[in-house]
Amino acid sequence: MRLLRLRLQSFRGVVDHEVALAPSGVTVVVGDNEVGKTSVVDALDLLLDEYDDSRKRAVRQTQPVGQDVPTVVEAEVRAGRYRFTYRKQWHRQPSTRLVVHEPAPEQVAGREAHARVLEILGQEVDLPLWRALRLQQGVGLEQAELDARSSLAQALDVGVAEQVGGEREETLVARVEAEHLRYFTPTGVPRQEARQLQAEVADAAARASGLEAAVAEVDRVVERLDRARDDAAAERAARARDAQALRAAEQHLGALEQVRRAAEVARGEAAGARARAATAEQHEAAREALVVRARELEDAAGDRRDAAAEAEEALGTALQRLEVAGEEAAGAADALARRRGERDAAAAARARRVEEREVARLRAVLVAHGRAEEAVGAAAARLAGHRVDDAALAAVEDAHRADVEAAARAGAAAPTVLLTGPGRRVVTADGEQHLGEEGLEVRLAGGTWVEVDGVRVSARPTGEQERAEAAAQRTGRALAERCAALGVADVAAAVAAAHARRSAATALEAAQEDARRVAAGEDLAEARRRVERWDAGAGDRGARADGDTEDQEVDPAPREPEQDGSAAEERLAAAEVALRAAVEGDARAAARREQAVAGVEAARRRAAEAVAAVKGADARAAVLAADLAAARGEADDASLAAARAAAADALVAADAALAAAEAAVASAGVEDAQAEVALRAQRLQDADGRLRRLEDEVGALAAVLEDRGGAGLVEQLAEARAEHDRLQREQVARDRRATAARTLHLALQEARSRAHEAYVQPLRAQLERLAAPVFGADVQVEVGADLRVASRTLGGTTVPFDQLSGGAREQLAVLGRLACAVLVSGGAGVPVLLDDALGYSDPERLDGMARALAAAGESCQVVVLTCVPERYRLVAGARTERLRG
Amino acid sequence: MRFLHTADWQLGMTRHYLSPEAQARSTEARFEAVRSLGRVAHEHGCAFVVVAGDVFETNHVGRDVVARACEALAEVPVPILLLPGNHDPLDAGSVLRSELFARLAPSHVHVLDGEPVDVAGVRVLSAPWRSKRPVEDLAARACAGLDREEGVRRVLVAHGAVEDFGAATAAATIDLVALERLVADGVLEAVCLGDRHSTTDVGSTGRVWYAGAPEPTDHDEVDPGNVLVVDLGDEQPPPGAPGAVVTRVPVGRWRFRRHRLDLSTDEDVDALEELLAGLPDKSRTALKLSVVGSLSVAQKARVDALLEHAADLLGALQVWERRSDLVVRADAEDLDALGLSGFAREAAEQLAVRAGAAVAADLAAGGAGGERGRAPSTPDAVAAQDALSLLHRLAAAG
Repeated sequence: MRLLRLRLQSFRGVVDHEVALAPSGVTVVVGDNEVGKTSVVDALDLLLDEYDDSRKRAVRQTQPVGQDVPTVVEAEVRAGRYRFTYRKQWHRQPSTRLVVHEPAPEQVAGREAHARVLEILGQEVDLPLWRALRLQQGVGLEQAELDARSSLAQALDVGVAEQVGGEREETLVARVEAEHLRYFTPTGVPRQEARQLQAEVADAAARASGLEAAVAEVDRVVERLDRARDDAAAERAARARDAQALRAAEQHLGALEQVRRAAEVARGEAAGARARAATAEQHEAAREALVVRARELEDAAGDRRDAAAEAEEALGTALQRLEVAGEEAAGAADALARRRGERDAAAAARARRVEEREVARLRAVLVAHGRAEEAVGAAAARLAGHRVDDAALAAVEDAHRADVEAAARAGAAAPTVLLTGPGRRVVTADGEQHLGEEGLEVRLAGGTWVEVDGVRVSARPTGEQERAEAAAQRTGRALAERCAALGVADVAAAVAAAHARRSAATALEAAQEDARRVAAGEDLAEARRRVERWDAGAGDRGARADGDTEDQEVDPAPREPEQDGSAAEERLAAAEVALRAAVEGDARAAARREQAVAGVEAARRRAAEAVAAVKGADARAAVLAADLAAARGEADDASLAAARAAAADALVAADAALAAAEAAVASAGVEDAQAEVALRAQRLQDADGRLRRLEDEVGALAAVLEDRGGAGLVEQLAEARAEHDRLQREQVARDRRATAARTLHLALQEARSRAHEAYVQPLRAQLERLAAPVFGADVQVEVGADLRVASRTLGGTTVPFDQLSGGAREQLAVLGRLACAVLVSGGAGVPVLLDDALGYSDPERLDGMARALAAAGESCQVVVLTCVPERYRLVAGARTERLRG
Repeated sequence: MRFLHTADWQLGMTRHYLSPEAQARSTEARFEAVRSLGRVAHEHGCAFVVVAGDVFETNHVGRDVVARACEALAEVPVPILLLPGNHDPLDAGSVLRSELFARLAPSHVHVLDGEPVDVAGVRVLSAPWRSKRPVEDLAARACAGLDREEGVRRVLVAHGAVEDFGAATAAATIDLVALERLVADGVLEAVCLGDRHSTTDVGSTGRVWYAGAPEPTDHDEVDPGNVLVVDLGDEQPPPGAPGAVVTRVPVGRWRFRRHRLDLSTDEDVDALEELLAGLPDKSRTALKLSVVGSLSVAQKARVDALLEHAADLLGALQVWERRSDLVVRADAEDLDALGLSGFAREAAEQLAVRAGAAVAADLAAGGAGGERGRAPSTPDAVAAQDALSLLHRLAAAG
């Protein structure tokens, strides 16, 4: 296909513009962005794909904004034998028109024209390739979506074209792949179902063999049971034979019965004789025993009587002992009484001595107390004679002090005169005296006067002096009165009198103290009564002493109390000792008497027992004697002896008869017959035992069979086998299907990759030819089965496509399309449309790409859409068209 | 005096090649055969029925089989005498002696245990199997010491082979000659045998018969599916006189068929299609095919489709692998027919080469490329053939 001319009217930003394209070689269509160089591509797509009345969004958007005008696209195209002009108008008065110029003129309109164009292109052009070889802006790094398209395949190599399948083949590949995936995973491993089926087959086999074993087991049990039953039947028959033999032996034995019975009779008679002999011996022995017993009993009775006599004697002795003991006890009691009297007498004597001494002491106390009382009376009398007691003395002394003070105060008021003149005589109111060396001081108070040499000197008293002297006089009188009241002359006398009274009081206290001391601890009244009682009892004591010799001995005329007391103590102690001895003697005598009484009791009891024993022994002896007598009455001793002898003789005879009979039995073979019977019986018993065991086994096996038998085992087995069979068939069939799928899959894949390999080769060669100016002469590319570049090798270094730089990838993407287009440049060939490519390429590579484009342009049509025409400046021979708005 | 002679019911029998559904139909058919022979007995005025052994497939049949058997027996309007055979011997595990059977069996059913049974004026002698491996001729034993007696009409019921095939029970082989002598001497009026599944008149007296199985059990049976009505006549015949008249009456519903087909041309495949289409009562037909021949991929695909369809319809379809040798060949025409090109065509061609490699090798080695329709084969050749068939199927799908 070649695009010759393209006209756009009211297509987006293009008002009306026509572009003429070089039929071969490179045409660079320059369009500003706002004009929309891609409009060229879109216009071509719209023209080929959309009806003129399409309301699709893509169609609607072609109308210029805000203008209700028709959009028109018109193209002139060469496709194989055809050259035609194709025009579509949208939006307003939509129309389609096709004018075929070659090979034969033809005009079609409307849908028919649309269909006709597709028909022509379908015949002549590889439309998918047309779309694949387009490189659009924005997806510039993508390689062309190439595949084993028939036109490309044909173009790649006519020789290998046969090997490349079309869509039909690819569909087949997909179906085979799907079939293969039914049995295998994508990595070629058999699927789970296969393993599961295998496991099921194994399970079914195991189930079947298990059931086979079960059936075989039941069969074995059945066989064993049958055998056991047969054995039991055989045993039963044998047992019957044994029983028969036993009966025969018993009959034979029966025939020998008479001889045997005679022997039995003889044996019975011998036994009877032996019994009778034994009885006779027993009777005789019993008689002898009876006689011996009677004798023994009589002897025993005699012994008892002797014992009774001894017991009686012993009783007499005991009674005597009791008598003696009683006398001894009486003597001891008397002695005790005496000793107790003596002890009491000694105690009384000692008490009298004590009382006597006490009375004497009390008497002395009473005398001393009487004397002390008298002294107290005297002292009290003396005290009573002294009237000045301490209170009275104090009053006198107070009066005296008041008087002295008053006199002093009076004296102080009176003038004092000092009289000097040693040796001189002076007369004073108090008398005459001679002056001493020291002189004499005289107070001239009251009537006082001094007279010296007859000169009397007195002083007239003053008022104060008078008052003081009056007071002194009053006090003087008071003192005098007190003293007079007390019967004393003055204070000194009062003091003396008081002193004397205190002495008398002290004396009284001392006397009283004496009296108290004498009477201390004593009950004087009681003492007085005891003394009086003692004195009153003097006569009684004299009278009592008359009847009491001992007392007289012990208590002779009054002696010195001390001596007398000591003797009394000693006597009492001796009497106590004697008394204790007497008490002990008495106790011993009493004990002895008690013993004697007990002895008497025991002796009496024994005597009674002995008497009873005598009676019992006599009675027993009498009974036995009566028995013996009675027995003898029945058969006397001699007849018993005779009977025993006769029985012994009979026994001997019977034994002899028995021996003879047994000898007869032995000679008749009875024992053999009996042994035969016993043997047969034993065999029968054995047979019974065996039969029982067999029947037990039969029962046990029957139970096992009952348990396991039937139950549809064989049907289950058949089912299991059928299941196993079915599964095995299924497995075989599945395996076969899987193998077929795998075989076919592998065969197809292998053939396909071989074919791809074969037709990829020319593409690769073309690609490398175009790439040489870009990357260098040594560039190599690897093209995969999908016709994409897998890797690029440069200078010995291979880099996978995906890891190449953006520029290199874009360049290879362009080169790949160019190579395809070059290969398919024949009748079915299509133009290569490059929309603003090579944006990633540096100037050096742009130069190379320009060469490649020019080279490709030699054999095919290349249309480059760009807004950067400089990139393609170096493409030799390129036509440049400008798309204007 | 008529009675009905049958044998080898083998109730409870299973066949591994039957699908569960077909097995159920087959099992039911066996019980139905018992009912059918009951009707035959009634229609022909038979006084009683003897079953000459193998009433049950085994002594170990399930309770349901026993129960359903007794139900069917109850519908037979005359006395039935059952002989234990080698499948159901009267051993300790005998189903005929089991408590279940004793409880369920109708009162007119008698188990022949060797004691003579007098029924309808006939004395039935029996030779039951008492174990799976008898060590003597049971029939001979049953008749030991017997002489003709006036007024005693005897029939012997026995089970086993009359020829020694070298089986494990060879010792129990029935002495046919001796039996014929007894028949000739008038000791026995008829001998009713069981064991052989095909209805067979053995010997020369015309009075010793195998009744055959009333329902067929396998493909190798010649004339199964019958019961015999035995007419002894009203009077005891004198010695040497012609006696019992035996009539076979078909009752079986199932058919076991076996076919050997050569499939090499489209006509052969057409014949197969006709054969399959023409089978009557398909659900009760067990077909066993042995197939040989050499088919194109397309023909083979057609055969596969035919067989697949037939398998859906038939009681059982077995393709006898051992005897089948169907080679798939793929020639240029075949491959053209696939309409493939490019690598797919190449792959198909290579598979065709592999499929025929064994034959080619045989030919190269001077062979005839297989004998009597059997072509040499290898697993790879089979795999390649199967792959071609698959390719044909997938390519034909559109």
